[in-house]
Amino acid sequence: MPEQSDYESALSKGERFFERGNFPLAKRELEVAHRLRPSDEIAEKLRQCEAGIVVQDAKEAAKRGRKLEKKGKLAEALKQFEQAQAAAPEDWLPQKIDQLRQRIGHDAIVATIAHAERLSDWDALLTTYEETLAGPRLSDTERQVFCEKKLLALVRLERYDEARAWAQAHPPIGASACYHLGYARAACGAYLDALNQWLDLPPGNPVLQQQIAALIPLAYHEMNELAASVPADLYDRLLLGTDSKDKMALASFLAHFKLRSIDTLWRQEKYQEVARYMLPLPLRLSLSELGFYAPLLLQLAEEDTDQLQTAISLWLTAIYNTPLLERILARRAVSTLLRLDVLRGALQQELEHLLDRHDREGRLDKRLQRHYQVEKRVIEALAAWDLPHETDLVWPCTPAFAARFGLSKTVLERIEAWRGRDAWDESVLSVAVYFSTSGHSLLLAEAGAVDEALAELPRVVDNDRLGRYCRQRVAWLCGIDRTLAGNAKGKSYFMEALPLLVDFPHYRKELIDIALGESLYKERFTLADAMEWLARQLNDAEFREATATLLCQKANFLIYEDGSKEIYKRLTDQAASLCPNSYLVKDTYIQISRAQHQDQLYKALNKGKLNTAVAVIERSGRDDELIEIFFSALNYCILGLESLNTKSQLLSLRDFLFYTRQVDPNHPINSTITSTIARLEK
Amino acid sequence: MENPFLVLPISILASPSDILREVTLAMRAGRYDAKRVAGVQRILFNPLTRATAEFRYRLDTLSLIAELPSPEISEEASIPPLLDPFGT
Repeated sequence: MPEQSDYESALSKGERFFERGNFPLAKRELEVAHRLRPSDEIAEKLRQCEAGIVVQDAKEAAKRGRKLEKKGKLAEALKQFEQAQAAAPEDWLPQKIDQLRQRIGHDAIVATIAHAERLSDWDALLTTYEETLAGPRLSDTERQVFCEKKLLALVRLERYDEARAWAQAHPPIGASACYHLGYARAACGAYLDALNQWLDLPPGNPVLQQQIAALIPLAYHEMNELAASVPADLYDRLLLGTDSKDKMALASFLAHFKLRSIDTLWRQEKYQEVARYMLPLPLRLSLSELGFYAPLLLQLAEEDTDQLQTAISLWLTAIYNTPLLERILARRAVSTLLRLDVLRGALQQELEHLLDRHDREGRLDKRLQRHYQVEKRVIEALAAWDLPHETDLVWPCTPAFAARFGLSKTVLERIEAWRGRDAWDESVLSVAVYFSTSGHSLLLAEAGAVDEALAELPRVVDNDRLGRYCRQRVAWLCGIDRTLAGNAKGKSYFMEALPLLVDFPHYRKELIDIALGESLYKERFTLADAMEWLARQLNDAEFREATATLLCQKANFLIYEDGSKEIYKRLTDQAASLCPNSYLVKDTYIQISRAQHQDQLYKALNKGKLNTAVAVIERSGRDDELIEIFFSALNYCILGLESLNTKSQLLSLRDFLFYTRQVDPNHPINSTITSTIARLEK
Repeated sequence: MENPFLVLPISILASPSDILREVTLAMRAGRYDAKRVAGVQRILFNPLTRATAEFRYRLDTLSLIAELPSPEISEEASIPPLLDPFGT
């Protein structure tokens, strides 16, 4: 029975251990039971125990693997995980094993790289980088790092072409790699590319600044050799990428780069950017600079009317410059027989189209329009004179251009050298004056700003004929301005302008046209006083007659406006003294006389003094108008008698009849009065 | 007048056949509508309007550059040594 109890005890313990999952102890007990009394059932459980033991061993191995991984013992951990996977494969184990293998490999590479870098062994490094890049599963960031490291190694090994090709396929991002790529480009002779590359790097690095400064002359040389265009922002970046000392030393190179950048900006239509570099205008302008600034200002004036005045002076000066236009024709591919004046006309239209557009859009000041007219007229005249001039002088030029660039004195000297100092006719004076010190005032006056012009007029010295002429012209324009505004205070200005009217008949003609023109009605009468004074100073019959006419017209106007007899009598007397034989003067006298008699007649009729009324009619030479007034007045009087008694009516009617018969015995009113008297007497 | 060189970026020396080639390229590229390209072609084929456009829109920086003093380049000028301003 002891055998029986041993068997049962072992089986019982074995099953208990099996139930708890303790497979080693369950196996030991079940083996005892199986030995004492073998059975298929126990044999099956023994097989299950063995399988369970294997799974448990695998779990233990994985557990040990994790602990070892945490301690950084990657190789031992890998062994444990591999053991676990071999014993009992799990889904996660292959990934873990791969990961560990990579980390072990990466660490080995890192160690190799560190060792090679310590030795500056670029061959070894390059090999390692290439192996790493060829290996599996690098993240994007890691790949970028190793690509850049390979680039560095290639440059360090002076394999510049390979480096450039590698960078072409794998563009670097990091500053160091970009620097090395720049160096590779420089080493291959692509200095401009290299400069661009280095200027993209963060500024302010003193070492890099020195390197850039050393590269600039080479890049300049390449740019000139290849006539290469440069990026629009190159000049700005050059300023950022060089220190102040280098900027000074490299100023002449930088000036060239600046113009190349501007060229690119212009082709990109970044006119404001060009202006940022090139404005304000320099104090002096060469011919080439004129050819540059004129289109620039015109382009700026497309949007900004503040630039329009400068654009006008530069554009007109440029298009009247024959050498500048010839440059354009000379560089054209197809030779034609294009005439300069035709080209000039087309270019002038470009400016006029711009002015018209601003005018249509309500953005063009009238003063600016007038300014343009003056500038155009003056430069046309200068161009037509064909004055001898030095080739380095921008010639001809507009007055505003000359004033801005300090050429006014030179222009006047040229004119004097051409025409001598004396006896300038007005065609010369009216051009030269704009280049004198007073010219600006006249420009203002021409543009309609007469008060500003007066304020700016400089004092005239004795021998300053242009100053005197200018003063007279400004005074003349002020007089005209006041007249057109209906202001009677223009006389003093016309008095100052007298020499102009004495010397140049067209001013007299202009004044006559205004005085007798139909465009002004009452306003032109403000000229009467001034013209009357001028007429006495001028030996000009036509002017005197025109003045007499104006005075008479004013007198006639006043006769019916305010009835101030003294004024219109005085005006007519003035007219008569200027032009005694004028028909209009005679007629005006008749009108005045008639108006005076009418006044007297009305006064007499109002007071009921019919005898006085009849005497006035007689004095007027029996004027038809007065007779008509007389009979009209009596008609009203007769109608007014009806409210009186018969006796009073008869008295008045007999009185009326006495005077009406004196005035006109055949007038129908006589028979009316007679018949009324007869009816009343009945 | 429109800037023709923006639509047809021809060189100063471009001949009528060069212009026609640019016209074809521009049409194919489809950057501008055919009417605009034709308008620009007219400008460039007419000697007067082409000269006007040259004056107005072709900035003559070369003449300005020619007026600048030429910087002197030392015969010893060479690329600077390879350093590493940003460290590796």
